[in-house]
Amino acid sequence: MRLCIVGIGGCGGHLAERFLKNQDVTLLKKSLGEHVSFGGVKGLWLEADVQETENQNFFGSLEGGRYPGYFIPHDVIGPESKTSKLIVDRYGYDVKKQGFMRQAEFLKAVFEIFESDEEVKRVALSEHESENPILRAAWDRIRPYTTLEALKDNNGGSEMCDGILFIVSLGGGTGTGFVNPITRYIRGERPAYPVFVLGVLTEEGVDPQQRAKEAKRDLGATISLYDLTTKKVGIGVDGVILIDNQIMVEKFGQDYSAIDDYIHQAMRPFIAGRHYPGEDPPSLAMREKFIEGLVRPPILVPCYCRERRREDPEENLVKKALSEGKLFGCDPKNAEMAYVFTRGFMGQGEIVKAVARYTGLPEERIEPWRKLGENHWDEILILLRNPYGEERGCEVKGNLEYRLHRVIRMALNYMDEPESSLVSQGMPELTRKAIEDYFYGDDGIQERLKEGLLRIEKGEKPFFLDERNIFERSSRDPGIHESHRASGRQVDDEEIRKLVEAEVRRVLAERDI
Amino acid sequence: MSGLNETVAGVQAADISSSLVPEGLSNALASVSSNGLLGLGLFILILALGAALHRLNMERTYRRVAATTNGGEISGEELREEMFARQGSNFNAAAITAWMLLFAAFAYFYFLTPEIFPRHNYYQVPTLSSGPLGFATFGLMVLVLTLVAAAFVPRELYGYYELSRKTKVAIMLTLPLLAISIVLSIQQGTIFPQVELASRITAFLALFASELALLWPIYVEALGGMR
Repeated sequence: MRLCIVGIGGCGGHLAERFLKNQDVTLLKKSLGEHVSFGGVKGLWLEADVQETENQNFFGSLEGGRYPGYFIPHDVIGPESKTSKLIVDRYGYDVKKQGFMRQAEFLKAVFEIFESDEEVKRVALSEHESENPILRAAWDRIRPYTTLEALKDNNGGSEMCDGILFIVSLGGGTGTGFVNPITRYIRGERPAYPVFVLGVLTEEGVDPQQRAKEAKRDLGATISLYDLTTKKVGIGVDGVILIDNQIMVEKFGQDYSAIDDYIHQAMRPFIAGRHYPGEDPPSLAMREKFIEGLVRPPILVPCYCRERRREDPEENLVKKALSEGKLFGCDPKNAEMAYVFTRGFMGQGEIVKAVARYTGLPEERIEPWRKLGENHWDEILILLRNPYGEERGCEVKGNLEYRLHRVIRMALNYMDEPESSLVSQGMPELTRKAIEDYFYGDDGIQERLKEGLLRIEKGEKPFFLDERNIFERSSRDPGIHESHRASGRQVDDEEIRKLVEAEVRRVLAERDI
Repeated sequence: MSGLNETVAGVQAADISSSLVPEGLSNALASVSSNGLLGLGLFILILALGAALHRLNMERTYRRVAATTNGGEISGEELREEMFARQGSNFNAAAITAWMLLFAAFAYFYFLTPEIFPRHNYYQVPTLSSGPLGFATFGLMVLVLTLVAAAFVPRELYGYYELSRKTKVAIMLTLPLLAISIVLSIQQGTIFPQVELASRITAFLALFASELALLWPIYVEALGGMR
């Protein structure tokens, strides 16, 4: 599996930088050769705030041909855009707003307008040749790194990415607002293309960088998590890897650079190449394992450990990863499945037995993938699938239910605070009503979150059930991708057959079969 | 030629006494660096040891992977393919250049002036040594002769190790180090029959430090694996 890393928003950008760092040497920061990232990953940074992009020097402008690059999707909307004017006049949203400061609902609303309002669609289509020019532009920048582009160009695509990992901060504005719509957009083209999200939940207390209250961030995180976990498989993402920054801050203090480095290190067994011979499944196969038996995307909790190489390391690594190495609090005994990624020399049977011993899982529900290690270190990353669901588990500190119960509670409290001003009085009536209904209506998010809290307390899985939109779509069916419709092109059986054949050929070629 | 060597020895003795390096160490380095057979042997030994340890590392990896694989049977070719890691074209170019310069620096150090190998050196080829671009031609010939080996070595050696950026930078830094060694050796050739011992010792140290640095990832992997 080779992943395309897409950092979205500030936190996503910082983390993506770790993943995309050039492993080659450079002279005076200029590389004359091809960019070589760890694990062969490729990717980019999607940002909404121009200033953020100017405050760093790792990513260059994709428009200027730089790699790794950043892209500001809403830049495709010109200042005199009719689409933009229509949305401002009708809904009060400025689609060219710089940054979304902890307002997860802002982008959610904007993208739902593009999906639900026929007139906006029509104007956008005539002006930008796309019903949703912002998402189209973003996807057009991601797509060239993926095997989908390789199939289109009829090349082998062995260097291309066969899956996407979005990296976002849960509780931010850009990342949380962007990830669901872009995933939905991708699904319109490829329902089975593997898409995962790495979501970092911000720490407790006041955010020292943006002075944003925890409750406000928690509302953003809750909205984002709600959207991520309620979209059905094939429409939404294939897995949400959760990391709790509270645990990271307890480990590293407020040193966010060290935290980013550690998160990258912990994810290395997942993205690394150099597989054990015959143990490199195509990402489609891995996706199937991740969503096996599920209707909605799973929550995946990473547990990581790294130690100097020694004889029979499996038991010790598994034990430490599942105790001291959890990147989000949870009880491993509640996990439904475990996906194990190792680097070093480890026995498959020993890994499975050790994980079974410490999680109580039957061996057939443990999937190990081994890779060769480096410099005498052994590493293990265990992704625990949905490790929650215990009655009154929310009362046990260190459990996933405990942390998320707190987050949802605080989000609900924030919704009731007069200062939250979720329903802005300055907005047009249509938007005000839709937002009010979304947050406080009988079937609004407030009621659904309360229901979610009850489900957590009872130990029911999943804790969020049905998706909730601000602006209802004309059709919930993602259907054929609008870019295809715009060009009047239909995908027929013959083309599907060719695409499948090409993909199979690529996989077989990769394995020399 | 024996008279020439006596002159060289006299100049060497004078240089040693004026050196800032402790006399004992300076004497030892002068003795080692002037001993052609010892130097040649050491150079080849370090290379041969590197090659042997690389083979050992590969075999050990194979054994360990086989030992942790059900049935213990794996394809060596498949494993080599999986082990291979791209190091980047900047690094590869630097590594190829460094290996070429290593052989050139070695040739300049031991085979330019006659005081180390009186019968086998640049001055034994009059058409070359009396030409206006003699030193450069000598170096270019060595570079051409070692090009194939140098081009093959980085891919075969470094491709199978996970090299950190620091290691890559260290390997890249052998380029200026080897350039210094070459320049100092050329200086020796220019002032010949005089010998400036400090330059000679510096050129010697730069040459062998570079050789060790170029093979460092292999040695580290082998040493770590023995723990």
